[in-house]
Amino acid sequence: MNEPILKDVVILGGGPAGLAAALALHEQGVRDLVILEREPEAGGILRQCIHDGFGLTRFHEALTGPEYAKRFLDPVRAAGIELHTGTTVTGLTAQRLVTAVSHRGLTQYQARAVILAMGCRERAAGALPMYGARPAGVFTAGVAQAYVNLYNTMVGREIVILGSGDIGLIMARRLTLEGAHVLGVYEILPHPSGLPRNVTQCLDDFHIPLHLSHTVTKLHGAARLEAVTVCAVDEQRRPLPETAARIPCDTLILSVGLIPENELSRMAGIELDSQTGGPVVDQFLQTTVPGIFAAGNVLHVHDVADDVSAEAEFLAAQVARYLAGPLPHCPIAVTGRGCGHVVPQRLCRGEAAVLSFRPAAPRRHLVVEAVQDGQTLCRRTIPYATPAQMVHLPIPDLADGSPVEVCCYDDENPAV
Amino acid sequence: MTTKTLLCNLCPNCCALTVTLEGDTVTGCTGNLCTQGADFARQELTMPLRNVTTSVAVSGGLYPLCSVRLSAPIPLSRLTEAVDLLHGLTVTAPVAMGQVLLEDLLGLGVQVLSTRSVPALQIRRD
Amino acid sequence: MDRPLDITIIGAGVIGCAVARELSRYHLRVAVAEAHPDLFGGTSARNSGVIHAGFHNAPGSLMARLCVEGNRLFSDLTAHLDVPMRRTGKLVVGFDDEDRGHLLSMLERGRRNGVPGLKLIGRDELRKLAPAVAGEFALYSASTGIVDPFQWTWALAENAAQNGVRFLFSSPLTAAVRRDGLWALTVGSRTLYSRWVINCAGLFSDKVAALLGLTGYEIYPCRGEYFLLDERLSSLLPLPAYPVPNYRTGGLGIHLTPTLEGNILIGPSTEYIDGPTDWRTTAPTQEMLLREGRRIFPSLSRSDCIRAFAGVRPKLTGPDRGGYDDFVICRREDVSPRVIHLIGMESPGLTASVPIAREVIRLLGLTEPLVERADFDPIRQRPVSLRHLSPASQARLIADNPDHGEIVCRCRTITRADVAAALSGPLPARTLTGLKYRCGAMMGRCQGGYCQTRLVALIEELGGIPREQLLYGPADSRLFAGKVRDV
Repeated sequence: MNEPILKDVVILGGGPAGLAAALALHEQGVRDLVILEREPEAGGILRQCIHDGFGLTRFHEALTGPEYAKRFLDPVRAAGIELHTGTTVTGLTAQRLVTAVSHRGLTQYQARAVILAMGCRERAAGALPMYGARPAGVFTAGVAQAYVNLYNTMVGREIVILGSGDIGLIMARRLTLEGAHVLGVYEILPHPSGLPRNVTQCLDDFHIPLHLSHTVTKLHGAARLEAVTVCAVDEQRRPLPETAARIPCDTLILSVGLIPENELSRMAGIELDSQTGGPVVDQFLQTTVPGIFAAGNVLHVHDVADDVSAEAEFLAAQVARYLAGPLPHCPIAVTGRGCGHVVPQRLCRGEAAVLSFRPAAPRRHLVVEAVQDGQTLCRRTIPYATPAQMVHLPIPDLADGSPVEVCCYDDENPAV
Repeated sequence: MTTKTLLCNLCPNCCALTVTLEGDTVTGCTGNLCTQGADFARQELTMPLRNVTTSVAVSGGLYPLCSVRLSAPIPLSRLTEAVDLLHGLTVTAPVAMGQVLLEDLLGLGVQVLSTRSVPALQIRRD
Repeated sequence: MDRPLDITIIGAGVIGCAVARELSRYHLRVAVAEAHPDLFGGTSARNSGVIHAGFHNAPGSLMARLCVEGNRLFSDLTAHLDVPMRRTGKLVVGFDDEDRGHLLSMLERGRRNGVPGLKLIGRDELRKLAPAVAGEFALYSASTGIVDPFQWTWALAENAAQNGVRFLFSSPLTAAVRRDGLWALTVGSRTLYSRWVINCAGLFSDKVAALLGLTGYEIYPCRGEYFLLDERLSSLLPLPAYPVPNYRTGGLGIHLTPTLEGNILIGPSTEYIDGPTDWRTTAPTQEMLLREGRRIFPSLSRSDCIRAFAGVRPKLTGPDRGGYDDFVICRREDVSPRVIHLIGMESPGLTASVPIAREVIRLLGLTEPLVERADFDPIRQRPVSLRHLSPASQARLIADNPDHGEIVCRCRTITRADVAAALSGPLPARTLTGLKYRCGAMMGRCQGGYCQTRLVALIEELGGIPREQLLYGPADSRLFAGKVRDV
């Protein structure tokens, strides 16, 4: 085995976050970098997202996933940025030693900085209180999407979808266009999890019913799925057995949550945030291990690729700074009220930052504000706030070292 | 006169629009924070437009499928027809991303564009 | 097939495969007829994977004798067959005097059965062995271990196949007729002629017995549900821990068993059911398992569970009696000539699999001349896997064969070479779960989210099974509904 290769920056993942970070670093003169991507082609999840809606803010065009990826891949190639595909990172240490394998062999890199850009995975059936045998015909939405769009494989004909997140809605349309009969989308929350645009263009356009406050409780069939039992749920999301209904079908698509992929982060001893599932980071997107940074879905699950690119570019600027000298210490804790989670979790004094979070429920005229020591740092009113759309709240540089809280409130749920 | 409500999906503000119609003509729109919202409402209620993204078959390619989209949205009412046509198409590899696969879809003046590059499958004679 | 078989084994579960392997030592033409499309169709794929010590079983019973023997042999056998196992030891944990009484009875029973390494330990030693487990004292069984039941079954089967045994899948026994001193067996779409039959049909051993002339036995299916915890919690439980059955409250207590990969199994429950293959999990039982699990691990949450499943015990005792009968390993020449029946082979069937097989051969040998083959090879080896090696060895392995550098299953670090190995050899995978259980892919945290599409592509490429025909596991479990485009 050879000596580790010294690199200024090693980027784990060649999806939207990794590619944007690499390009931005290159533009800032950081040239000694490498992108490690496990798929045979870079682009990450964008490769299978053949629907449009990517690049609306960045390029003012409605691109498909692969087209959006190409807008980064072409410049990466043109700039001669080192990109290894078919390469899986199998080890990461707190000292930034990266171990990667591919058919070419095992390579180790000793990095001055590491960028985590591994994206996320899907919540699987096993984690759900959904009982029965284990018949064929149960797929998570991303896997079904890969089969249909990349592998020319049709997953079923009579489809029930659990979860109204964007990926479930997109697959409702995709499968309908391919001749399947989508019987309905069932959502455990009282509101859709995905964007209103997708509810219109994926469900309403095709007269696919959306059943809110419902879930799937049972699978029927021993070999191949034959039916599911759906139930309405109460305010605590518990199934109401008297509402149980049996829906004959041959396929169940699960769109029940995305989980940041942090196996390597755990290996390096990086502290994870139990709410986001991603690393705890400071406002420079540096994790609790010095020199290891995170951006994109691995940090917190995003809705829009454009946001991922922006976050990665911001991160690249911080990494470039870090390579020139240590970044300021960030002792100021950030918490959220009325919202799911806040990233970054730690701030420093004297530098402006952007706080990202999701509102807890859909609300009109939601006031979001960042407060420190009773003082409002920044306040915005969002005409339509939904958990499906991440909010980015810029805050000014802080003089005070007290904790910062993000509060979301409206007429129904006033601030305390 | 009829009244309809819909959510605008042009931007994250997601304005709740209330639209008044005389027959098929939009006579008024409220709830929009910008003029594009009113345009959106008009279009959506009289002739909703949609882009179509799907896959077409590829012959002789490294991959069996090429993802496609249209150069501009078409009326929703023509969607099924458009999809049926696209699903009957076979294109020959190699296909470049952005390549025009069909110049004028259904006479609607929109092109069908490839959104993937599909190299030709090399058959090696060993 | 011109010449009749000497022996046909009905069922390729762990016992059928053990019998096949032991029979392959002799000059005999042996075939195994399995109803499912691949291995892992029944109870052998749905259990705790424990190598029992033998102190649960009644002294003097076959279960006790064969379990102790099986436990004793397990280290050597797994070494020969290249199957990972670990003698973790096991704790049966108690709280009060009544518990202590039960543990003392177990200790005594174990001693009578010849179980080595049993002792009572106190609170301090219990804390040291399993800090997360609550209890005042425990019975500690040093000889108890854990094994991957899929690897063990596959290893026995491969070694049998390597030594000349034929395996027929999708071949359920539907009829059996005596004809000219032979059995004419209808298995699937063909007829086999065989001098002897060994009934290892597990959950269907009573029905197969009846087909072969032996009536009067009834299997009472008794389901046990489990769920599997994320390996991130593995440090909570270094060895299996069971509570003492609390007869006062009526509960049997919930078992906690680690797997070799570091997942913790919670279960099994106990519930008599109607259908022998009713492997459904149910809300009340799963909720009960979670509650019981929380009593030991208070911070346990539903999201820690990565998979739920069920197994069915082929019990010979019904719901009114409960408890255990003994293994039935018998011949009834009057009604069922030239057949050896194995009925009611529930726990400790896995542990005792090879001694059970040798008992079958002993019975066989009373009538049938058994001539050992000089070329029997007791060694079966798995190809080396990247995941077990140090980085330096990994580098060398990949240099030698680049397929070891292509990671297919990220969670378990399973490579293209590992998948290729499971799709080749004497008993290659025929279904997706057949592949899963052989190479370990899809069994980690993401449960196939990343690797499933790749595995299906590799099954086509290397296994020659087109995806339109690919089964998930059982017959009729087609995974897909055709192509998107006919290209």
